Formats: sequence, structure tokens, C-alpha cells
Amino acid sequence: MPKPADPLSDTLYDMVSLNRLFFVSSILLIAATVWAAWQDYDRNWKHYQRDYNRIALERAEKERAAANSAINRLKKENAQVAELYTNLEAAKAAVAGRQADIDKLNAEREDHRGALEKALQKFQFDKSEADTAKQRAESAGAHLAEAKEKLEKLRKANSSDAASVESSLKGLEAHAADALQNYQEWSGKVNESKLAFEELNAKEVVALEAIEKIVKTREDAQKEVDRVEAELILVNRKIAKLEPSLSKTLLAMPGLDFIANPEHIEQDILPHFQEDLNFSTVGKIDRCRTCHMAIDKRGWTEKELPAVFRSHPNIDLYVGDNSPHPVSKFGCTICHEGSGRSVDFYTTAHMPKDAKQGEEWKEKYGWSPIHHFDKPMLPTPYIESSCTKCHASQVRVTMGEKVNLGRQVMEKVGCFGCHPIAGMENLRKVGPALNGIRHKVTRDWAYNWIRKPTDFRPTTHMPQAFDLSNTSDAEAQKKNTAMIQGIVEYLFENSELAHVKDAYPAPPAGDAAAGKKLFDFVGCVACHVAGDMNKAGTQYTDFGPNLSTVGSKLNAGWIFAWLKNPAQYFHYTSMPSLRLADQEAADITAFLLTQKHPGDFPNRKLPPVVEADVEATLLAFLQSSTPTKLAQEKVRAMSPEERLLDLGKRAIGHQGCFGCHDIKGFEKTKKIGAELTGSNATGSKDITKFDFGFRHDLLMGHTAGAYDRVAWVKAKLENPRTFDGGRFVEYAERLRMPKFRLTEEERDALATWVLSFRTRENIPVSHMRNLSHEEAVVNAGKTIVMQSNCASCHKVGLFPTRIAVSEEALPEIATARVYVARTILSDGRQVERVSADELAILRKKGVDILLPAGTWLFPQQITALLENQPPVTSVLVYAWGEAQIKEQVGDTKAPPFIVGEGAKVNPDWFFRFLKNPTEIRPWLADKADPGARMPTFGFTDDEASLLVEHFAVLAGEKFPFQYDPPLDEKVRGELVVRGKGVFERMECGKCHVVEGAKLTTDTPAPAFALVAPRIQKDWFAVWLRDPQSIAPGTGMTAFNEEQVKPDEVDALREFIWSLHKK
Amino acid sequence: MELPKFYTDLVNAVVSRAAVFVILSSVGLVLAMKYYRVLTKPKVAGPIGLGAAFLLFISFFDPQFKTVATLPDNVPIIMMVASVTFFVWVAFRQMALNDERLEKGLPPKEAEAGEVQKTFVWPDLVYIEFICLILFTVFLTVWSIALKAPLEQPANPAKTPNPSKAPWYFLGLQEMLVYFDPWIAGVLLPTMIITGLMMLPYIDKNPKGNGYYTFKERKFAISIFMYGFVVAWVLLIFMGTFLRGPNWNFFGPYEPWDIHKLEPLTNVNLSEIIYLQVLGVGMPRNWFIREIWGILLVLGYFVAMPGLLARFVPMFREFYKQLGMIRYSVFIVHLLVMGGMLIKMLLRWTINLKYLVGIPEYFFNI
Repeated sequence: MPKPADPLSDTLYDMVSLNRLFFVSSILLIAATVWAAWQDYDRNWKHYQRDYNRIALERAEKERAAANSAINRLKKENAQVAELYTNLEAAKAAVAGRQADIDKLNAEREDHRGALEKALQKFQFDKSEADTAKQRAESAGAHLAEAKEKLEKLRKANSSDAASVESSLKGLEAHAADALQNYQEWSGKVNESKLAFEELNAKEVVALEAIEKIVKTREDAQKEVDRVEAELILVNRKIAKLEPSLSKTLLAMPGLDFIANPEHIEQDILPHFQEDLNFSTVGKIDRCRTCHMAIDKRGWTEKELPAVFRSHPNIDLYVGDNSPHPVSKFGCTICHEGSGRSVDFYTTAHMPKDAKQGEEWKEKYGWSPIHHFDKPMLPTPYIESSCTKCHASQVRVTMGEKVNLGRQVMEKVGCFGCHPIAGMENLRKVGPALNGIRHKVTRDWAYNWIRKPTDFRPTTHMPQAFDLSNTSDAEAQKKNTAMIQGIVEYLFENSELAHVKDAYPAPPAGDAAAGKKLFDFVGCVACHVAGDMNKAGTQYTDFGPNLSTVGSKLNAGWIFAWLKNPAQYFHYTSMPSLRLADQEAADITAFLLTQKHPGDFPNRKLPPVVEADVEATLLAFLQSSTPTKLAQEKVRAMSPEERLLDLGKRAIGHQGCFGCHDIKGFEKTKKIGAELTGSNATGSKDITKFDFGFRHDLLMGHTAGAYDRVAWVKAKLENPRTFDGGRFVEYAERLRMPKFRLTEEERDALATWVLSFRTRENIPVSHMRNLSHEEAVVNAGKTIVMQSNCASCHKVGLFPTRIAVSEEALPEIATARVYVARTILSDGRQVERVSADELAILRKKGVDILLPAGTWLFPQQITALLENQPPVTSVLVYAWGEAQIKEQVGDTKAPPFIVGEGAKVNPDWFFRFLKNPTEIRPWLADKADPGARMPTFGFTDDEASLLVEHFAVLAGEKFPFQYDPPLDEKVRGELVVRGKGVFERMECGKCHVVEGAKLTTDTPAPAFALVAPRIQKDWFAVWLRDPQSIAPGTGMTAFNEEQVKPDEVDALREFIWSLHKK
Repeated sequence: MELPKFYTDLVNAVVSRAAVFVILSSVGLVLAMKYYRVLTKPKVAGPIGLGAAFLLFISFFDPQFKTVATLPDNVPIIMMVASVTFFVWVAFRQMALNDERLEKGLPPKEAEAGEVQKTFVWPDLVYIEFICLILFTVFLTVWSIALKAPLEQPANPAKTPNPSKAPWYFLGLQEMLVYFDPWIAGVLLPTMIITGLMMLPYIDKNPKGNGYYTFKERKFAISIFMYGFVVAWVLLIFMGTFLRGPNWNFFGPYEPWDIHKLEPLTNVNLSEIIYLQVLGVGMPRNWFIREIWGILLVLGYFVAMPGLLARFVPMFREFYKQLGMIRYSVFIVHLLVMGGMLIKMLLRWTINLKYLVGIPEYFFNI
């Protein structure tokens, strides 16, 4: 600091320099403050809002132009509209012509105004005074009355206080009298001032009426024009809101923006959802719409729009007010995860769907994977894993195709065999029981199968457990061999079946060609593929194993016994009994034996046991639990056979074979895998608890777009042993999850399903998808339908189809009838099924039922939908695909449609049929085509009755009882006679078998004798009129009202029902 | 640009060995104080400062160093290291100049005018303070705009960051937690820092150096302060910031923070050294017998050592004479605690000593 120039100065430093320094610092301080304010003004989300306003304004301007041109076109084309405009002009001119009158009237009003306002004020003040006086008078009166009452009481009690009360009473009386008088005076004054005001006001009213009369014609004409321009007016209002203005700019300025900033953070406050902040919970707040400003608006779908401003891609299902998941109720992060409170691209924890998008974001938004946030957003491909948060009660999440597929894949490959998974505890093991394997296959086959299942059957779901990336070095391979040898030894030594003595007896001689025919037609192909070992079946024919190589695996005796009664071999098999005759079974056996493996697999042998390897492997396992020396002694004490058996048992326990197969000795063994649900659920457990080994490439930040949780799950599914890579781990300690044969799509879906396992969040009951009784029945029934593979033969369900109801879409659906499986309410909500009572309630509430569930929707009805107010833009229906109909129409022998089955057949008959199927259509079997056969599934009573209820609910029927009002016998007799006439006239007997005639393979239609116990009466009328709507492709003729008059239907039905002899 | 490997390897090798690093630093401090007159000359200090700045600059080419040093949390540490260095130099430079003058028989620079200067509160004091206040506000504002507050998600007790670091000003205390039980590192030592500062005026009665810079006349006091502040406080903060990585392992400044880095866990208690390694017998079952050696050692350090020092070391004999029994005891205990801290750390680094006295039965370890 410079010293003062003047040596005599009092100060230590030069004041001028200090002043300069002060000046500079002050300037710096101001600059820093301005910079800070600017920083706030310059925040990213404000830029987004400005951009949005600009784009929205442009769009609104375009809408205005469109509206204007539409009006101009109307003016030109529509004479009536043009007239409205000329009327308006004329009215305007007329009013202008009388402007002088209006001015005069206004001048008069102005003259009176001073007096009027003064009179009004006087009246108001007087009124106020009067009100006060009134209150005082009332109060004084009340006090007086109270005092009088008190005095009365005191007098009665002869109290000495009476005197003093009496004296005060006088004062009160005087006060009350004064108050009353005062009030009366003021009342008089009010009346006067009121009269004065009214007198003056009357003049004003007269003048105003006169003006209005003059102007009215113009206003009426304007109203008419406004009606034409309604849309334009709306757009103009929108534009006025969006248009920049001085006041808006000022209010958004830094420093003024605390008053009423038009740019503000848009919040969805969701008090129902509690966010766990570890030390307390608070209501959820999502600020996503601060930037995603068009997310809840329809029509922002153009590709050119910045991604941030697009409408939600599925606005009918999410976000929209009429959707089942409105943003005001569910917010955004309940599904998407991420930090809802943040308003910055990075801190909100956006997650790209893949590396490419990650790179794009890096460039565009400076994105990087977020650190320090436990729940970053779910990448969109895996978003469906959030569905189960609320839809946990549904076995199949409505519209959740990916997560459903994932669940289906898991049910198919049986992850729950090793991993405890809540909700999947009671599923059947996915592999066959091995308790009788000795009678089924050879040791050679078993060994080579376990070693590499896909060598024998490329399409198998049996995973490979050995020779994987962490067990493929020479040393490990030796141990693998010993392990598998041990497993085979254990399995064969522990296979005993009560019903087999030594081996299955040889079947009678069979004809392979006849067997092939049976195989193709009787129903086997519904679940199995034969003839090509590499052919992956469809979703349905992949249900059972590919049988193309089965002749190299099984012996004739076993196949025959199995075909005759699968459940005898193992009780939990999905294979139903087709009630095959001995010869039929023998023929199919002969055919299956021709299905040989084309390669060298049948020649592969069980290699000779190498004692040293068995010992070493056994030691490797023993050492982990026993001191080395002791383990060695233990091994030495065993005979070679004992060693192999012991190793086998340990290998099975280690590898968890019993998770999928019933194996003797492992009935109570715990599952070997980590639990995927619960407090350490895969979808929510801390990311640091995942062992990534040396797969650093999967970690967030190492690869753009890697969301480490997803990456981990997918890497694990792709190569379950990958995290052992680069590590030195003892053989017995290595990762042991086997490798499943899954497609990329299946892995993706499975990952979605696995990621849906999360620690329970506090979802309020009001936001959960709670199932009604009927929905629960459908849910549970669906599971049995899928587990029994019903859909492979029958068309059980219809395909969910979203039909856009618009004029353009009409041709596309005009040819197809659609079956409405979901009730759609006019407020946009969808319900699986509404009972009649609920319908009534909803109607009372003003909710129209557009499409009740269980009805057929015809093209003309769809047209009618268009005319509804408000028009429905799209409906979700379950519809036949045209291809399905064609398929069914082309094949008269196809198993029947069972959509609407619940409305067709009697529940008790249906129940009995499911338990023990009887033949209904014998004509389906002939020499060329033995005909498909409804198998005996061995449903339990509970399963069968659940299925019956399932179909009843789907068809909108009451379950289980339906009342059939009794008919007077005389009336019935008459109806039967009349019905017989109709029956003969329509020649029903031409196709259907009537009483007495024998059911043969030549009969083209079911016997009438079967009808009464089976068919529901009210179904008959629908069927008679339009059988195609119920079963497309049926051979049944439709009878219109000319052929069978409306009053003849009952008669015909009674006649047919009378044909059944009890 | 990449730093030459021999350089990064050398630095990593030296710095990541905590014993070597701390001993070298301490030796450096001692040498710097010994040769302060030469070292503080602008011609010498300038190039040293520039060299250090250059090393800091090129260090930013190392990705690991850059990542750690540019964290908004760690920027103040860099500023602290730079400012501490600068002000230490300023002070020692003034001391060197004054000491020379004193040796020549001249008064210190501050007393050059021959009389004690007096100035006005306004404008000489308040005006300058006000300007400083404004400039500092500017600095804070700009800092908070340029480096956004490193806010994270709500704290989760079930998930702590790795490494979990205290605020920078507590990193020194956190470092001590590695060597001592929490009751020592977190309670006893901070308390003794405070009591030590409180007792200073009663212990240090040397009137020399009042109002002027001098080293020569206050060698012991300033050396102790330099050790307590620069080594035991600033250096530990520096280590906690730059050298402690995941799992609280020690890393060199250019060594990538590998979360899987493992160090052998071979720490032993004094009792284990005595019974297992030296005597080759089992550990006594009675804790008192087991720990008696450590207890004697610690008692010896704190009870016998002050007496021995006062008896046999001339400097301490002088102190004892000047201060008397009570003040000497207070002073020497604080001094021994400060020294003991470094001794314990060195023992850990050199012979993997865990505890001198380890009585986990009563949660008491030293």
C-alpha cells in the first residue's frame, strides 16, 4: 500500500489510492452480483421453457392460419355463413348511424352521475349505521330480559341480592329504550336515503336500457359470427397466453423474477407416494414437466421437434388426464425412476437406452452417468420393469408385453428352481423327475446329455452346467468329467419306481406309419415338434421337448408306458393323457423310435472313471468344510464306488440339479441361488453389492450408456460365469449358474422381469392395481390355460388390438368383427369386466358404457362410436386377427373356438368334461385323419372349477348358478310340437343326429341328445341366428328371421331340449 | 501429454509409503528451518516456488491427479497448500531479515522508526478492512458460481461413499482414526489441541518477538508450532485429500484409485510381538498380564519421561526451572502427546504395530 505523498499526513496510507482501490472493488462486487443474477436467469430449464413457448407460439400461429382459412372457405362456400358476416356488417353500420343517440344518453348519465354516487354512498353509510343500531338494540333487549329473569329467581328465593339487581334493572331498561329509539331513527333515515338513491338510479337504468337496445342487434350478429369462429377464438386465447409481452419480460427479469415469474418450475405434487430420504419420508415431487412441457399434450409427435418437447408416446395409457395413469396421480418417476426433484439434465439422472444415445447425449447435453444417485432413470427399453410395482397382483400385466414375456421365459427355464423368488414359490419344477431314470435312458446317454445338452437337442431348455468359461481349462475339465460321472452314478443308483420291476415290458408291435399319422393328428404336435431336431417350435409347439432325436434316447417299453399314462412316471408332468388304445400307443412308440439322432451322439460313451480325478474333485469339495488331513483320510477310507456316489451327491447339491428335477435324497434341500426378491432384490439392491469382477466395461462411466444394473443382469444371462473372468478361484468356489439357451430378445425380456424385483415401495392401496374377484379368477385361470398349453389347439384368447377409431381406420376393420374383452368407459377408463350392478351405478353417474365386455362389435357399431360425444379416438379390444379366422375357416376339423365358452355350455357339464373329456364330434376321426382328441389333463377339482369360472367370467356369465324358470308342462308340450314342425321344415336332422340314430363318423354335426345337458338355453338363440360371430368357420348354417320366425326360436329350442332323455 | 513414467513411478513410490513421505517431510521441515536464511531469499525461494508451481501444473496432465484435484471439494485444499506455503515464506523471510539486523545490533525492522507507530482506526484500519471484506465477498461469489456446490443425494446410512471422507478441515483428525481408537483420535486429541492452545500464554512467557518477526529468539516455540501446524495438521489434511483412496488405502498422487487394491492385513499388538514372536509362548489368558508391557511402556512415556527429561536434558532442565512443577507437567504432557502421535504413526508404518495396549475386553486400546 503506498504511503501518503505528504510526509506530514495523518494517515498511514495514501487516501487517493485507497479510494481508487475501493472504487475498483465496488465495481467488481457489482459485476459479481450481476453475474450471480445472470446465472439464475440463464438456467437450463428456463431456456427450455423459452424454446417451448416459441415453438408453441409457432404452432398456434399455424393453427390460427388454418382456422382463418377454414373460416374464409366457409364464408365462400356456405351461403348461410356468408350471410352472418353481411348481417354483422349491416348491424355495425346501423349502430354507427345512431351513435349520436348513444352519446346523448351517455351525456345525460354523466350529468346524473355525481348525484347518483353521492346518494349511493349516503344510503350505504346509513344502512351501516342502522345495522349497528339494530345490533345494539337487540343486545340491550337481551340483557334486559336476562336481568329480569334473574330478578324473578332471586325474588322467589327471597334473596337479599334482589334489591341491588332491581336497582340496576332500571338502568338497563333505560339503555334498552334508548337503543331501540336510536335504531328506529336510523331505520327511518335508511328508508329515506334508499328512496333517494332508487329514484336517481331508475334514470340510470332507463338510459342503459336505451343504449343496450340500440347496440343489441350488433351484439347478436357478433354472437352468431363468434359461433362460427369458435375455434379461432380459442386459438387466439392460446396465442395471447404464449405471446411475449413487456410485462412478461419484466417479470422474468433477473431481480424482478421473485414477484410472479411466468417462467417457473412445474411441479406434480404426489403426497400419496412417500420418498425415503433415509432419515425421514416426504411426499414425492416430480418436476419433470418443467422442461418436458408438451408431455401431456396431444399431437406433439413430429420428428423435427426436439425430443424434450414431444408428447408422451403412449398418452392414452400414461400422463393424459383421461388415461389410467394421469400424471397428477402417478407423476413420472414412479415408473421412470430418477431424481424427480431436479431440473437439470445431469442431476435428474437421465439414462440413455444404449451406448449410441449416450454418445449423442454427451455431445448435445454434456451428459455423463450420474454418480451419487441410487436410482437413476430406467433406460426406456427396461421401463416395463416398473409396472409390477402396482400391478403385482396380475399374473400378466395388461399391455406389459416385455415384462410378461420375461416372466414367461422365467417360468419356462425355471430360474426359481435355484433362486428363491417371492411369488414364484409354488410353480412346478420345469424338468422331469429323475427318480426312475434307470428305466428311461442309458448311462452313456445321461452322461453325454449333461455334458452338453444342446448336442443332443439343440432346442432344449436344459442348461449347460459344465465346460463353461470358468471351468474349461484342462484341470477343470477333468473335474467336470468326474462330477458328471458321479451325477450319473448317483441318479442311476437312486432310481426306483414302485410300478416297474426291472424294466418296462416291451410294447406290442406297432406300425410306424400309422404312428406318424396319429402323432400328426391326435394332438401330439400341439406341444411337440418331430422330424427336425433344429426346428424351434412356436410359442406353443415349443411347449414340450423336440422329439426329433428321441429314438436315440428312449426305449420302447418306457415310451409305451409313458404314452399310456404319463403321470405314472412322474406326477407333476404337463403331459396329458390322450387316452390312447394299446395299439395306438404302440404305433406312436414305433414312430418315435424312428426319430434317431443324425450325428455321433448315440455312439458317445460314458468315459472310464479316472480314480485320481474323482479323488481330487471330492477332496476339492470336502476341503471347504473339513480340515485337509481329515478330508484326505475320509476319502481314503471310502471304496471307489462310494467315492463316486459321494461325489455325485455333492455335485448334484453343488449344481442344484434338484431345483428343476425331483431327485431322491434332495427332497428337503434348500435352493442354492441367491434370493432375487426381498430386501436384496436385484432391481433395487445397492449397486456396490453386485460383483462385477473384472468386467469394468460394464460399470457406469466406463462405457457411455452402460447402466450398470442392467448391464450386469444382461451379462450374467449371456455368460453366467463371466464375473469369474481373470480370477483365481478354487474349483468348488467358482460361480455355478448354468448357461441357458436364450435369444437376445428373451434375455432382454428376462432382464426386464428380473429388474422388476425391487424392495417393496410404499405404494398406496388407492394406486395399486387391485383385482376384483372376477379379475382374480381370470388371472388364476389364465395361468392354468397357459400351463396346459390350451391355446395351442384352441383359440382361447383374442389378440389385444388397439383399434384407432377414425374414418381412415374404418376399412381396415370393416371386414373383421371384434370381440370386446375389455369394457371401455366413455371417460377413457378400461375395466376387465363390469357386473350388471356396477353398470347401473356407472350409468347413473353419467358414465356411458361404450363397449360392454363380452359383446361382439360390428363395423356399424364402430361407426357409431365415431359419432359419440366426445368422440372416442381409439379403443382397446381383443379381436380375431384375420389370419386366425382364415386358418379356422380353412380347417373344419380344427379344435373348437373356446372364446365365449362360458356363455355356451353349462358349468356342471363343463366341469365334468374337463375332468373326464367325452367325445362330442366323432366325425372328426376317420381313416385319413384320426382327429384331434381333447386330452385328459388330470386337473384337480379346484383347477377344473377354477377353469369353468374363468371361462364364465370371460364370457360375462354368472357363475355357477343360472336360474331356468320352469315352464308349464302344457305350454312346453305345445312348444315342443310346434318346434318339431320348425325342426322338420329347416331339416335340422340332415346334419345333426336325432334320437335313436347312431353317432357315426359320417355325422357332420353333434348329436341333439348331447345338447340339453351341455348347452345353455339363452346361448341357443344367438347361435341360431349368427353362428359365425361365435365360431368363425363353423359348418352351422345361420337362420334368419324369415327362416325361423322370432316366436319360433323358443319352440325349436324346447323341442331340441326335449330330445335329451335323462 | 503424458507424464514420464519414471517421474510418476518415483513420486508414487515415495509418497505412497507413508513413513517415507512423513519422515522426508519432517526432515525437510527441519532443514528448512535450519537454513531458513538462505532458503527464504527471493533468489532461492523464487525458483523453488516456481518449480513447485510447475510440478503442480504438469501434474494436471495426469488423469488421476486431475480428477482428484479438480473436485469442487478438493480445490480449497490446493488453495490452502499454496497459501500456507506463501505465508510461511513471508513470515520466515521477515524473520531472516530481522534476525540479521538483531545480530548486527540493530533494532527489528518494525521498530525502525525508533518509536512505536500509532495509526487511526479510520481510515487506516476500518477502510482497509472494508475493502478486504468487499474483495472477499467478490471472491466467494465468483467461487460459488464457478464451482457449484457438490451436492449429492440425501445421505443414506446404509450406503456410504468409498472412500468416506470428512470435511476437509477434519481430514487430519480422520487420519488419526487410522492409528488410534476413536476416544483418543476423536475426543482426547482434539481436546488436547484446545487445552494446549489455552495454556500457551501461561507456558510461553518469552517476551521476545512481541510485535516483530524473529526466529532466532523463539526457536523452540516456532519449531513446535511448525511441527504441530504444518506436519500434524496441514500435512495430514493433504494426505487425507490426495493420498487416501478407496477402502482408505494409501495411494500415490498419480496412482489410479483401484477399488480392488488390497494391502496385507498384518498389524500386530505389542503383546503379540512379545509373546508370540519374541518369547514364542501362547498369549496369556489374563488381559492384565498380557498387556502389562504396553501399560508399563505408556506409563513410562508419560510418567517417567518428563522426570528423565527434566533431570538429564539441559533444555528441559531449564524449562523445569522456569515453569515450576505444575506448569512443566502440563506443558510436557501436551508435548509428549503431540510427539506420541507421530511415534505411534511411525510404529504402524514401520513394524505394523496395531496397539501398544490392546484391551478389547474393555474397549480400551492405545
